[in-house]
Amino acid sequence: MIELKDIVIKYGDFTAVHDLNIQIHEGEFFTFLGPSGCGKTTTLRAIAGFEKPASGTITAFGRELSGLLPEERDLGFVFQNYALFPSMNVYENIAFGLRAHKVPKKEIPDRVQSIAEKTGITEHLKKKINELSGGQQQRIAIARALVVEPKILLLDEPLSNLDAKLRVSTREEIRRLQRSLGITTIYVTHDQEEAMAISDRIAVFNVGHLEQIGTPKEIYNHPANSAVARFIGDINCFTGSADKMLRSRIDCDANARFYVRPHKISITRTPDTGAKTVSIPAAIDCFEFLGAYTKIIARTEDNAFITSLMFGSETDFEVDESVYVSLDVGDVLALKEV
Amino acid sequence: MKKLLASLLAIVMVLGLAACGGQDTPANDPSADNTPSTSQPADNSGASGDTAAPSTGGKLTVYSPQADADRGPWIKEQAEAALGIEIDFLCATGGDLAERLRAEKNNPQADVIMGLVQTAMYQLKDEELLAQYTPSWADGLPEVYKDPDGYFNSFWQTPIIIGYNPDFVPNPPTSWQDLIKDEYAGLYSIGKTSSQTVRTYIIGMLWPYYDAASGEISEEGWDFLRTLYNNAYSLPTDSDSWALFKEGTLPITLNWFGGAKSKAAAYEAPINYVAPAEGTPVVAEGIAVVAGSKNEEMAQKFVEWWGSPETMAAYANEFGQAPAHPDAITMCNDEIKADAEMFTAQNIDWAVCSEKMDDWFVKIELEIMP
Amino acid sequence: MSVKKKLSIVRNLLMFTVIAWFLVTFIIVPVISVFRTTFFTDGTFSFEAIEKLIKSERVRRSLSNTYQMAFWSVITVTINGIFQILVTEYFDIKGAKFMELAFMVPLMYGGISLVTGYNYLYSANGYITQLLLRVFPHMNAYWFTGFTGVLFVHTFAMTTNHILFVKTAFRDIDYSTIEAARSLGSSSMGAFFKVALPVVKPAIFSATILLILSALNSFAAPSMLGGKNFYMINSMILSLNGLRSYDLSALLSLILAASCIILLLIMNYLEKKNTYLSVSKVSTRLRKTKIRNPVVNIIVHALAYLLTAIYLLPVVIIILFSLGDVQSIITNTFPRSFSLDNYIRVFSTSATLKPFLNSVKLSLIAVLMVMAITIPSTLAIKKHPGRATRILEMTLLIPWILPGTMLVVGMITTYSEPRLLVFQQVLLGGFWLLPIAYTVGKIPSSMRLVRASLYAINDSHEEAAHSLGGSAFYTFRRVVWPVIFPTAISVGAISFNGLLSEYTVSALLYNVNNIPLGIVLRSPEMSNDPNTEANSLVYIVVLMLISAITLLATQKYRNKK
Repeated sequence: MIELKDIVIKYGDFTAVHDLNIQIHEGEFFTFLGPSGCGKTTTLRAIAGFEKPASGTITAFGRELSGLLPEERDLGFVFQNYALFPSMNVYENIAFGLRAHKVPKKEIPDRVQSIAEKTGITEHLKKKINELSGGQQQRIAIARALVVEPKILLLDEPLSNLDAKLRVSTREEIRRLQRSLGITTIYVTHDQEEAMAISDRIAVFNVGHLEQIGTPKEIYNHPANSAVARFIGDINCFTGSADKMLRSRIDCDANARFYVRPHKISITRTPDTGAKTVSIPAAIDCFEFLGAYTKIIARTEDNAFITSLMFGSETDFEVDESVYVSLDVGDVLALKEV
Repeated sequence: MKKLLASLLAIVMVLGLAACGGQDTPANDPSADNTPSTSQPADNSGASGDTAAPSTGGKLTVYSPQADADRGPWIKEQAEAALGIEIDFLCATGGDLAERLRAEKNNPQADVIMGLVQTAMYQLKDEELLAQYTPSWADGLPEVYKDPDGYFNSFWQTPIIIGYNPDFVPNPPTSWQDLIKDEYAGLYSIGKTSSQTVRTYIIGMLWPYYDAASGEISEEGWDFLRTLYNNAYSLPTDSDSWALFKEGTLPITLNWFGGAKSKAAAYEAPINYVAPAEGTPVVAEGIAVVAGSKNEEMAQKFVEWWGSPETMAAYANEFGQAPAHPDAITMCNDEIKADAEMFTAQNIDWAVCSEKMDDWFVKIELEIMP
Repeated sequence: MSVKKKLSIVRNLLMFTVIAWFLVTFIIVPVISVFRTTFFTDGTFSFEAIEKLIKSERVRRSLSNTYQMAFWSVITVTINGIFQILVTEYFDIKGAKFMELAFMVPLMYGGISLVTGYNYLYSANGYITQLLLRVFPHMNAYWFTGFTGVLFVHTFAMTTNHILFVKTAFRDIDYSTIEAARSLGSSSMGAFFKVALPVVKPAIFSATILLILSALNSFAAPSMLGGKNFYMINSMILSLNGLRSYDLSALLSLILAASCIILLLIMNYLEKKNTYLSVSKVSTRLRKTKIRNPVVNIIVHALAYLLTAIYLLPVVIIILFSLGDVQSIITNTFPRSFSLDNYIRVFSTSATLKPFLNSVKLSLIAVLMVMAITIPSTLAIKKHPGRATRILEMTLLIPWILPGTMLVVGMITTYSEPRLLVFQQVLLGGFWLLPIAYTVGKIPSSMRLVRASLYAINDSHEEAAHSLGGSAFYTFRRVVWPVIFPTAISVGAISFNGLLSEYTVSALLYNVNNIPLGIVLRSPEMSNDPNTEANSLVYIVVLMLISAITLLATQKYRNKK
């Protein structure tokens, strides 16, 4: 188990991370998610020992880490730019950690071979780093981190330098590898879709604060506040007359705001008068055809845009047609503004 | 190819390291011999030397610029035969040896210092680095070669001379003071003030203007020197000067006798010497027992032996250098005799000069030189 | 805290204590000491030294000579440099590759060796002067004396360093900008001056700063060629120091330092006002253009070959003479016979070989010390930006602004007696002060280059190595070192070459046990041994050989950059 307790990280007068408390379970795939500059990478680097917290403690499997050098912390780190050593070939890169750990010389080739097989890079072992593609470099970076059999694997935006398709397939591979090795993994990303797809649990960061910890479902369905809601997935925010209309129906805090996920919104020609529904008059603004479904964007009377998702590609709505935006009161999230 | 170069480089570096590891014997640089022109008195103190052997038993440590590969073994051999003493030499330029003595003041390593010029010996004496001892041969020695207080005596001498190429100088100067005459303008050059030879002849020329009462050189003297400098030939390097001497552009040389003689011979240039009426400054090299020597008695014995006319004559005949002692000169071969009698020594109070010369030369550097 | 971490803290502390001790002892204290000896005679503040200097016409002349020389050197070196770039990089000149090598020759030998070589050709008795006299009987046979001689040497010797800077910038020029200029109606010469040159202006600018610094501090050329009427500050400092007039020499050093600092500030200001940022993302490599006008073409070719000859002839002459008989060497007549006698003599006797080994040893020690100081310091400066490292950086750069003579004068006045800082040793007259002074002098330039290469290291490489379990030392050896090694070796090689025949610092600090080559190279003019001059030539040739070998052996590292 890894525990971050009351962690504060400062750069001079600037506080990058405020009072952070996180517990990560053994074998868990845990993700730090947030926009750039939110403190997620800083926190990861603090765990690895590259940043020094101003206060607070980090313990991993019962060991206090703060008194230890990075090389003593027994963890693998995969860098955003991979940080493969250009002066060594693939084999040398992977063997580096084994040599640093003074693994007996005889064992090194076997262990390199075995991790190379697991990560599917056997045919590249003799190559130089600059002869490899981004995806191959990525695998080698992971192999290099894993070969020393660390207790914890830290990945800092490992997929951000890959193209969209490779990103998806690689993240699946990472997930499979993590499951088969059962290694506790902390993963940093700014891509919420990636986080949702891969994680057991997610910690959402925003400007140096931890906003919420939870499983992907919890975070998506029950965001702790508007920041989390906006960051995870598409969401509609209701303002103006729509806000007033909802406020009369829903009991909530005065400074809360109303959010609804696009797939919970339907566009109708007639107002839905059900007890639990609200219909807001609007006009069709435009359509975005996305293949399996179509995004309909409607404009309310006070020029706010509301997005709705509809399966299929056929709609009989026309641009500028007057419609109603209908939603179930139960689907409305009344969230504190941050 | 590159590998080869790299390994060559490695060899060079190893050579360098080997040099680091080797026993540091004093450098027998050819420029470090006993010529009065080489020392660069750049620093004023030195670290203690670890190369000098401790003085024990029948061993004597002698610091001398003369003890180079040529002359050192001869001196050593003769001393052993005559006195039964084993000599350990430390050879370096005069200036360096003086620095060494200063640095070792509290823990003297040397027993005898031998072969430094008068000014240096006077400075050592003033710094209480020498022990009083008057050998028997000091008796017949002219005053100019003796320290009045008996701290050191000179054994070897070389005059600083005006030499000229007779083909181009029909009316040679007859004294140092003649040099500022218009007819000699541009025919001689003056070297750098760091050179001992240059210092010596400048002191020689200034000495007549020394006022014992004020302890300073008179304004007249400085004017003389100013004219001397202004009339001098503008010479870029000294290495060209002998070629110029030969072809007549620069037919007057101010130099030390032995140097002028050998250079003129090397360049196959004719040379005559001026014998100034007032005498010519003579550089003489002295010998003294080092203060605090652990073998004082033996050191005295060595000094007594070395300066004796017999030893000096033998040394002179072997190496062609003129001794200071008149008795020794009479025992030399004819060439040395002739050389030694060609000039008379100018009477200069070197003790005063060695005290004042730094100030004088700063003045020359700042105010006199063009 | 783990034992390892404690150990690593202790080790760093120890290392930086040693570095800090070195810098305080051999840079800061000597500088303070210079100020003290200048203004405090016998413990009281005085302007005596200033008065003495102000009264001296000669000091004023030396200052004016120095500034004028610096000014004219900038003009001639810049013209020479631009011409070299034109013929080796821009125009299509036959034999350009060879010329480029010839123009680099001063990297192999400098200072005294170079002036010695030039003297064989251009002095009143030199071959070229004699030849010219036959064609123009009325020309001044002594043109290579005084101002013109020194300027001549500066022009050709100092261009090499200047050009190294500018050439790199020039090669980065986007050729399409020149094509654009041509298509807009500009001639190729016009495009060079209007488009290409302005782009490399910042590089020329910074090269010029370095050039002025070295021209102000010039020593070998003025002292060997200056003669009675032309002298520069550095020679004065050395003479006064030789006369133990430390207050005066220190004050002159301060004046020189102040000039350098003022100059740097002005240059810095000007530099900030006109910097260019490269706008082009995709650049096309420069292609050489032919000169269309046949007359211009012939003239440019002729000038280029003449320049090549100026660079190469001294080397050829030195090599020829070094193989000649002693008599020909001293009388400067063309050798009648050639043999290896001089080489055999130099290398078979320990007396003549010794200064050579001394210099190799001293330079090697200095280069290693430079690396031992600059590498950890630059690492620290990069990793831990803060007040302490800023002070460290400034201190390391001090020797760059202050003339070498000044620091050495400071060292002499400080360490001529036992000091607690150096464990009550008297350093002066001992072995170590000389290599230390060499080290101090080479620190700033090495630091700039090492730092540049360090910034090329990705931080994450180091972190990756640490997280893989690499200790600080292991990480340095396997990850950091391979990246800075090429720079270190190439900087080391150039420093090593420069130090082999160093004179100014050596003249002030050498002693019995470490007489370096630079001193011996200067001794023929003072010695009566006819062999000394021949020995010097051998030394120079061997120096050139070693320099060439070091440069070639480290070539691949330089090209990588």
